[in-house]
Amino acid sequence: MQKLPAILLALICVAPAAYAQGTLSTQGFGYPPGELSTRAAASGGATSPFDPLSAVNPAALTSWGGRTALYFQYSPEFRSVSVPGGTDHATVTRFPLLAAAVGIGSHATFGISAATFLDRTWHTQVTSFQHGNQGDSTQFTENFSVNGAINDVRLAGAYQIIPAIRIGVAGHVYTGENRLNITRTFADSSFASFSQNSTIGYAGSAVSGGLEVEPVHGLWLAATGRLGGPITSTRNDTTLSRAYIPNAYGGGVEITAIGGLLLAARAEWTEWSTMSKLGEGDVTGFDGWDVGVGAEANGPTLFGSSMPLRAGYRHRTLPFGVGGQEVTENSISAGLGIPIAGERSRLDFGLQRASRTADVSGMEHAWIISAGLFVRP
Amino acid sequence: MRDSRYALALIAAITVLVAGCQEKLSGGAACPSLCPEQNLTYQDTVIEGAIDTDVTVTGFPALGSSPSLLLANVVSGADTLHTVGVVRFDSLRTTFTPSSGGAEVSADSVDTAAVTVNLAPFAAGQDTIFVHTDSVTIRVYDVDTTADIFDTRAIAATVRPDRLIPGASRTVARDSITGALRIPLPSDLVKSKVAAGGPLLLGFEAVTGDNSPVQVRLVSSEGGNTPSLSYEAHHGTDSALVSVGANVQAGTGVDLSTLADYTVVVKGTAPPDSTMLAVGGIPGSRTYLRFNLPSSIVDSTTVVRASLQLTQRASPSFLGPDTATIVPLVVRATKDVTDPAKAALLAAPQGFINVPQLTVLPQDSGQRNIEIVQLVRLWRSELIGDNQRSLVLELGNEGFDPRQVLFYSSNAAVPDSLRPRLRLSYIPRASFGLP
Repeated sequence: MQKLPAILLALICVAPAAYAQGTLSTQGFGYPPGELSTRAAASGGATSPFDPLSAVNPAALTSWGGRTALYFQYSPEFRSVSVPGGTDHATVTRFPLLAAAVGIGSHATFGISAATFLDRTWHTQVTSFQHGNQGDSTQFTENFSVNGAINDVRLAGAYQIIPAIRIGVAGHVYTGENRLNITRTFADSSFASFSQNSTIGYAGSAVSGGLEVEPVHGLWLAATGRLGGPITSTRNDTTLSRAYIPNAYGGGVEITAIGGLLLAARAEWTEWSTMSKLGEGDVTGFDGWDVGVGAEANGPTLFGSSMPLRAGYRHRTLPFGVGGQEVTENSISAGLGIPIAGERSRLDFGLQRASRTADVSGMEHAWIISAGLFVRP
Repeated sequence: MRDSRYALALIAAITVLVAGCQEKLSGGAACPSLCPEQNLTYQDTVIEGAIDTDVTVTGFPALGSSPSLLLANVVSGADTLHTVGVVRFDSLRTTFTPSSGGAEVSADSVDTAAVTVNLAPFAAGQDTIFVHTDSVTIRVYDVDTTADIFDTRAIAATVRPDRLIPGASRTVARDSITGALRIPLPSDLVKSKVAAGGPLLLGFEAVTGDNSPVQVRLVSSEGGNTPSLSYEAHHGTDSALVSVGANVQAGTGVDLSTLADYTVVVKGTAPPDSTMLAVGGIPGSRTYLRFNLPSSIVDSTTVVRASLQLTQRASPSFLGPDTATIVPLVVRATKDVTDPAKAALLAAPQGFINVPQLTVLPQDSGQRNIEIVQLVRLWRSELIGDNQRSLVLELGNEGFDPRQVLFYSSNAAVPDSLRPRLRLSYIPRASFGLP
């Protein structure tokens, strides 16, 4: 116990003195955290089709257990981007998921969640030279930042037809804004600085549905689908562009028949290209797979309950490319859950190591720490 | 129990770690290859026709507006500067109240007449620059004339030896040039002026024993010290000391009070021809420039640099080793004021907006830039109102420095690149690549 203060101090100090951007992950309209809970993320996203905390499959809401529950998640990302010219580091804070559910009887559950659909938060700082027409030049520093996100607010309902069959449907409202700011300051005092702000609002909708079945004891299958509706971007009440929320189709398998061990796999195809028209110029959306495998095992007993340990692997195509090239992300993950007050609450922790690559001269790595608190009042 | 403690420690550690994250984003090593939407474009161009009027206007500072009167007597090569300070006593009291009391009586005679002026002290170390001898003599002319009050040429014409007032002079040591200076005046002159009720117009001149260059200043009414005339008035056995401040006969509907004292240039800097723009000299010249900026740039983009480019031509007059400062002033006149001379008077004080001064040697030549980007941005922001987009260049020591800084005007027979022009550097609105 005497070592605890030193450990805490060391942990506080590891937040890197960070810089970053450009990045591979935040191109286009941003990075999709995936709407995964800490638990699902720690198992490579594989358990998400069966996870009531994740906003993936509305049918999974029945797993809340027919009781009112709340969930809150915090997931900072520590990112480094390496290019031949150097390496940048960044720290991005995210609150990617907030969810609540209430049970109606023993079969129906309604839930509402707000999840980050696309996080567009980045800041570039570039120093270069401005060349004039009369043979002169001056140094300038340009700062370009975007803050904000498109969020997915989901209202979902799930029904357990029989214990082995569960269905769910959901309506989604996509909302949020991107606050863009670009400034350029000059070393030469004869210049005045340049600054421009712009706030872009987004509004869209979609519907989704899901199914969970247990054909044989200990084997669960899931299917999910999202039908994207229109999404518009606006500035000052003026519509700038229209596109569609991407359709997504996925499925998963979960094996619980092995005592104390849960194995899961998941695959989802997302048609991100439907969002390309929301942007201008070379914003290119790439359709792609999000696949993951993971496991969850009973760990040591804590507070009288078993502490689950999780691990997983995930591979996916990120929505927006760089320089016309597709960006892929591979991540390994691990985590644990700490039961609190018996089964009433649980504090989940997860750690992901993500590597993002594209056919360009650069690579991105990230540590994502995730903490989620699940409470049944 | 031991498990619980470790569990709590683990929870606390991870919580503190997670909560301790401070978002830090700035960087850019990966730019431009991975930087999204780096799409600022920079334009740099010389705008032809951006200056639709460029002209020299003279006569500054405006008559009577200066805080001091310049008494200059300088001959330098072919250059001559000769100025006098004129003090007007347009109205003199013909009666007085005896010092023993009683009703006012007429002044039948006067004596012990004198005029008191205040010598402005030199800034530290400048006395030897402006006075080359150990002493300087201030002498007084009778510059009375029937000409119009604004006719300074008529007054200048009276500055000649036969108008010197006998005995009206004082010699002051160079190191004593400060404070009040009482100069006696002939009683008969003052008596005749008092009898007529005025006017008495006195011209003050500075000279040295060896005719070396000299410049001294008298504090004017505008500067806070009104020159005064004093005399002992008599009526029979009654007498009293009468004092009268410099004054101007009231005009009709016009406030002429500032004309109680002012500087008159007997001989000064020659005005430039229309091919040149001049700043400075005595009387002072200002360069007036009116701009016609393209709205497609000024209103729709962000101007990051606006350089008024002028080509300086060496000035041949009053050469000296010191630099001269050109002060840009923003004209606050409306577009209805079309006379440049009047518009040049309606300029905001220095410091109204950050337009940097320009420091040059008058005898130098070459391109000079005056950076007016903040002024261009001010004009852009003035959506309401009808202010003209004009700029005036004045010499920092206007009215007291005979040197002129000369620039080619748009009438000069020189290539376009040597004429006044405006270089604009601007950045169009960024599209941000995405909406």
